[in-house]
Amino acid sequence: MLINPKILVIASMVVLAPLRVSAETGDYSSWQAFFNLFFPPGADNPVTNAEATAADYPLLDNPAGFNDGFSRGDYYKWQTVQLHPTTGAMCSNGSPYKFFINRVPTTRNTVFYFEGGGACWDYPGCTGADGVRSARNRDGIPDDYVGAGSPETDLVSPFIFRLHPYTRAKTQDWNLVYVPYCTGDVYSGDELGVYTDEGGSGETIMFRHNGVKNVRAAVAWMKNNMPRPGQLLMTGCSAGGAGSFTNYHPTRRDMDATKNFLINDSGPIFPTDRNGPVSANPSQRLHEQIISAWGLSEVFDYLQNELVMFNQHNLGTLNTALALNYLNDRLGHVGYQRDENYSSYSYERFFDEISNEPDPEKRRDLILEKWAVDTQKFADLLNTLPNYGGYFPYFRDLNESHCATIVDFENGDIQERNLELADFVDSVLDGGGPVIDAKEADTVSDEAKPFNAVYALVNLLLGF
Amino acid sequence: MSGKSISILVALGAVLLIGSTRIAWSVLFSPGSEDLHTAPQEASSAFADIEHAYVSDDSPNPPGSRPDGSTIGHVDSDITASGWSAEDIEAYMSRRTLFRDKLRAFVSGDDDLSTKERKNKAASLIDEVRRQEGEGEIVPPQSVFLQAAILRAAYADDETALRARVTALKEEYRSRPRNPPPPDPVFEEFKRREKLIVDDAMARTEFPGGLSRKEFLQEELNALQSELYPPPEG
Repeated sequence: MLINPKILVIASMVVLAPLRVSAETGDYSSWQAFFNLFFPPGADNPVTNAEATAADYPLLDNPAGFNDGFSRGDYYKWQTVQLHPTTGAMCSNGSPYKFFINRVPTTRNTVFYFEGGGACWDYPGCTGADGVRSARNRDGIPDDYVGAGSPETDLVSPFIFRLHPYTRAKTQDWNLVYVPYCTGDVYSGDELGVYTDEGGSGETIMFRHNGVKNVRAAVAWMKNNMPRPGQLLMTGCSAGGAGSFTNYHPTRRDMDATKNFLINDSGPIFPTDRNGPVSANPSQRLHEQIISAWGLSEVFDYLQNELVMFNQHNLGTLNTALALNYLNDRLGHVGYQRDENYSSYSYERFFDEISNEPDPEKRRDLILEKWAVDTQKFADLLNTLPNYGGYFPYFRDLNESHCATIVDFENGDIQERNLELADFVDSVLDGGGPVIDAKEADTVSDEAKPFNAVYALVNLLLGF
Repeated sequence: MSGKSISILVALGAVLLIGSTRIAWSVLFSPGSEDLHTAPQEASSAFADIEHAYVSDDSPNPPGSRPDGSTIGHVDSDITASGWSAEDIEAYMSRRTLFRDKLRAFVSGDDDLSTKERKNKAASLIDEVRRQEGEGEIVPPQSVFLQAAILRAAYADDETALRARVTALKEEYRSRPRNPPPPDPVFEEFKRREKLIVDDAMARTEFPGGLSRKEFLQEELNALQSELYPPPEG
């Protein structure tokens, strides 16, 4: 009889591993982690009958007998989870929706990372015609989407890149859920877009703004297949940031983690009085457009039923409602003051003085003027909410200063406060007391930083 | 009972013993844990590599597998539920531990290497990154990112060379062909019939049951989807 020394090595590694680190809420004991290798844990918080039959946005899992492609014991591997159309999930073109999971045996803790990728609400935007900023994955999600590396910058976010060479985030050791984006609605819509090329071919396309149902189906699957998280982070950048924010309440409620966190990176839903003056509410026209195109009234009725502070006359009140409804959660928003991407989506096509301005630099400056108004109002609001911090550095020479948590957490410093972006992330995920609030006043130092090879490469790859 | 089964049982027993000791120690000395929290706060450097090994992987495919997920060679599914053999896991963990530690030390400049040594080290690390990419352990954007980080650390004092290498890297990856997804006959049929429905709806001036054009489209398309994507039988 021989003892296989390799088995002993592996098992001992699992048993002894947590001795060296501080385990957290949601981490398995070394003993449990060892058994998880042989008996991968499944659901312990499955969808209830009430959740599955709810009148609004029920949690619908795959039908019995459907092969979702998931193998429970495949740890440390990106797996594609197929969702059957009967769950209500589908991409804008009607193709089946899917998401991706990379699980570990050592913890229940889970990060939902919502992919970014623009937005659209009409024919030009939803087809990419005329060079208009558009939405990602209009042709659906290939099965090998993550394996083939299509999501580029999202895949190297320190939140989900376990091998990140220089930025650490505790979520790198968690179960990773990558929620791909294919509905053009910042994961918030529930409407069939019927868009016609009015000035051209006359072509009509069907564009399913189906984001809410996609997230609900993914949550249903998670509840029926994975353990309840001890800690849950919902995050993403741009459209993904907005999606993590708008879906926070129902997802957090249904996943029922012990500790809950939100980091909305560069996907703000600004405080905007729909009946107020446009000059003081620059996002008003955008909000009116998307409420109509994405069927948001129905979705927000659903939220308003449970979040009493949320008032649809000002979509930004969702920020206040989440903070006050979940006083023990730690919430954060991060975004650059020179973000030229989300700001462009927000104003460029809604103000004639911008869209008619031929000089790109003047157009950019007009856009950023409005962005500054919205950003200041937002920062002022977050300053009043202790468990919801706002972090607004000035500029980063990457991706039009859009998205602070892609690639790394560097160059998100606020020099006059001696703060780095990592400090803010830590404040949300590990801090006590009020979450950091900081808005950079220095408008010079960020633009005077030296050449950064990593950013240059990423910029080149993105075509900037 | 086979020799391998006995081996597993003995290994399990040994680990049970270690685990029991560990649990007893945690119960006696742990500074108060909540539901799922069991480990003590202090760290032991002796186990640093073990922890790194266990949590460092980001592979889209396990060792011994092709990028498409199919398996190469022997896999002993009796060993773990993942289907990885003990040999696979050990080799994988050891390699990843060593690599991540080396990579982070190099990128942080936490060494005393000369300029020449740094460039040689960078070449060695990039070879390893490319090997991992070739085996499907990391995906292309992660590979490019790691290589760029290594180059930045190696050529920090030579911006011209750095720019040239970064540009060459970009060109190399941009020139790679991307395979389109395989055709999906069900979805192709869906789109073919969707177009017929849309053409019909756009040509109509009246709709049954007092429906609006959008409501009519929604109903027709939902029916089409149900027809082409029925739930599995049984």
